[in-house]
Amino acid sequence: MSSHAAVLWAGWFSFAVGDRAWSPPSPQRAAADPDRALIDRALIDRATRGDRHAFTELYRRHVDAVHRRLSHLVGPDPEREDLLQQVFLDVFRAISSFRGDSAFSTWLYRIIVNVAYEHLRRRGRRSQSQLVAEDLELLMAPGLSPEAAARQRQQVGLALTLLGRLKPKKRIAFVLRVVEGLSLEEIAEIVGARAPAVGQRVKQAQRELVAMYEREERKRGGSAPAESAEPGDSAQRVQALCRYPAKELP
Amino acid sequence: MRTSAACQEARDAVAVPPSDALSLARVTAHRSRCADCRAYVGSIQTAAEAVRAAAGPGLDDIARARVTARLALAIDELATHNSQRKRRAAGAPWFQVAAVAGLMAGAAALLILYGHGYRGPTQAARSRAAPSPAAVAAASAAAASPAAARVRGAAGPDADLTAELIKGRLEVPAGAVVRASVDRYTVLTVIGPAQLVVETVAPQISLRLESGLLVGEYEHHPGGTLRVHSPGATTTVVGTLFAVQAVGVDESRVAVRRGAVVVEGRGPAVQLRAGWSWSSGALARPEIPAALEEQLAAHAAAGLTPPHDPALSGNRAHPALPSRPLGQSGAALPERAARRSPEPSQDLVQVSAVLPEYAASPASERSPAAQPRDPKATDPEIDPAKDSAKDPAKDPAKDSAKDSAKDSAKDSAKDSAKDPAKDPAKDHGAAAAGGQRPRTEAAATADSLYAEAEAAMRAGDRAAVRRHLTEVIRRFPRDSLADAALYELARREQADGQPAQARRYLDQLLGHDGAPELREPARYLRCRLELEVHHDADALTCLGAFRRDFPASPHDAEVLALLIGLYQVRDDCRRALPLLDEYTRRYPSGSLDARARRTQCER
Repeated sequence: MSSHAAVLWAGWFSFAVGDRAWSPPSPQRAAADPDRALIDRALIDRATRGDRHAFTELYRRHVDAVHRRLSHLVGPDPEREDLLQQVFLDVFRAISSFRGDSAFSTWLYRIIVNVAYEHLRRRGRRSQSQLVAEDLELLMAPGLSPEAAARQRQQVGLALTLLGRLKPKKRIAFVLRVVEGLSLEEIAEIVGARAPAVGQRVKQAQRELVAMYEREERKRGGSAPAESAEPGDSAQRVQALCRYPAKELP
Repeated sequence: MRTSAACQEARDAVAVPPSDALSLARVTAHRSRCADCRAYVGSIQTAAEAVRAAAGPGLDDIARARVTARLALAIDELATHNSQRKRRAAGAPWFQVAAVAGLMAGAAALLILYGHGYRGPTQAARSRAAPSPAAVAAASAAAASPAAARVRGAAGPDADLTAELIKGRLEVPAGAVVRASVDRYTVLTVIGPAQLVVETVAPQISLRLESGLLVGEYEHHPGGTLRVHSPGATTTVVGTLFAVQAVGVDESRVAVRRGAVVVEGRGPAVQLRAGWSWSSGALARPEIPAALEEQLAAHAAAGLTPPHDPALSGNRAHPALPSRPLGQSGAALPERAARRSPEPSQDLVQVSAVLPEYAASPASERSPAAQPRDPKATDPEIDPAKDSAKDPAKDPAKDSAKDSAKDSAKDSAKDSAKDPAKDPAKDHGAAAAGGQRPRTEAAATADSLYAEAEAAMRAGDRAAVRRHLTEVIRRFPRDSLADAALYELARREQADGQPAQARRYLDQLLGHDGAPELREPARYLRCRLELEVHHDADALTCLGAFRRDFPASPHDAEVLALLIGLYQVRDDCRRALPLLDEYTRRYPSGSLDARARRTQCER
């Protein structure tokens, strides 16, 4: 297990780049920006009255965020653009029913999650292991050495394959919790479940992922360089994280 | 501390923490002491980071433009279906009441007349009593089922210019003429007496001319086809001004005034070019029968062109953006659905679009009896608006618009693979030998060329990419794929360090009213090129104009940052500071370190 841990450590630190990695935007944070929320509100009002330009403006303001969230939920799926279109089409259909009980971003998130869920369910277990090498290449951070890029490619490929084996509900809960950093209550509101149930899904997803990782490692028979793969500064990094005072967290 | 309790605490911290970052802080506190926990948390973090990494760099300009275009089309379509549904819902009960009342009144009148020994009017009286073509047209259409032929738009002499046919049967009585568009690329004139069934609408338009004469003008566009089935012939229109006449039960005549069509009769397919005609059972001839020529000339003289003008289509998207992502992902995406959907507020009216010049012509024949309703033709399409009442946030409606778009993409791909008749460039001179041309001869279309370019992109064959894109521009300069090709070439030249060449492509793209979705990214790239060649003054002008023209651009943050940088390079803090303020206000989490820049300025 220790070699496995070391490999994962190495992988994690190669990915973890700055605070952005653990300070994703949440709907509540977005709603906390009063200007943004006010502008959204005004645009929604106009869009509800049939103003197509207002809807276009809403689309422009949110399209990149929606794309990013969809990408997190379904992975680098070739149908992402279709799903993106579907999300905004659903928004267009239902904008008149948006009453403002929740933040627009939460409401939008709900649509994104529903679209992603339907897609994942349809896609079934046809995982993203079918990603060709070129697709993975595009996902790699630029400027990596060939060895690092190869390692990263392998890890991303494996992680996506394993994620693809999770059931859609668990996968969504996992992504919203661990990747997007939403609270269980936020997730519960988005997916229409109770917070404890969401917590269970997250836990189960994590257990399944870890079990799958372990199985994969057993299949590969461990790796010798793993012991030395644990970077020397990782301990410092850990210490730094430990010292990070909770109240100052973003 | 290396206890199972500590491990459990770490695991729980991952699962149910108050915040993500706090969970990391808690868990990492345990990591250094518990290998199992480290592995557990490490696995999860690896997966999470893989998810983040797999999200990729985000939407690129072309992808954004493509999504924007397709969304606009889908919304138009959705709005149209909503409008139709409302109209149907509102109109159906009234129609039923009117139909029952009409039948009862008709039966009563017949009883009264025949009860009095009435034997019908004399021929002269019949002539005197013949209704005006307009009345006949309206009456005929009104007698038909309500879901049958309808023309969208206002009634009256001008109705033809804005009219749109929807799926269904159109009956045009003798002496009446209906002009309508099926989509933005197609304007049809149906000269009565005629019966036309609109089987499918854009982009794969299929018409069945059961009788009468149809003159059409069709503008070629990627992914679109127009087929006219008439007795004994199927005419595939490439992009042309043409006429099809159903002469008898199993005989048709086809004539082409401009462009080319492919006709399939009983024998081999024949390609007809301008000035040629064809009749069932006969060879193509380099002449057009006088009757057809007259109608073709009338159609052309009416000055009708397919309503393709963007000004007519409001904010509708450009129809022909690349159907697949460019180099980023390999799978095909749906179509470039080219549909013109009317404004949702437009009313549906019964056929009564009779042109004055035709209204004056003698009504030599009585109007045909109302035909029984064709269930296939009149079946409403699956209504995507059916689910619109549902809350997509609860249960996102399946998007039938998208499905139909996918279907049409499939059809389009199928068609373009088997249908050589879609290439206007190939048409010229194709019908040299008596107009005969085997239909199996493949011809490259803008779509197929662009698809080859995309395949070459994936294969990394830069020369082939360039060759295919250049070919698209050369052979299909009016096709909107040429715009996408110009932009792609410019991007490639810029990446290859050839700014002059890139600028040439961009100037070509921006020099005409091309794809509106590509104007913004093209303008942005143009400004970046000025920066690359160190034309700072030009870059400033360009970026300033860009911000003015595209205030909501997704590149706005970058443009603002570039402007700030440029002003600072020129020691012009007076201009840089307000922009810094604006940047801080609009993009508080932007990548530009506004505070450092401000300090730099204040120093």
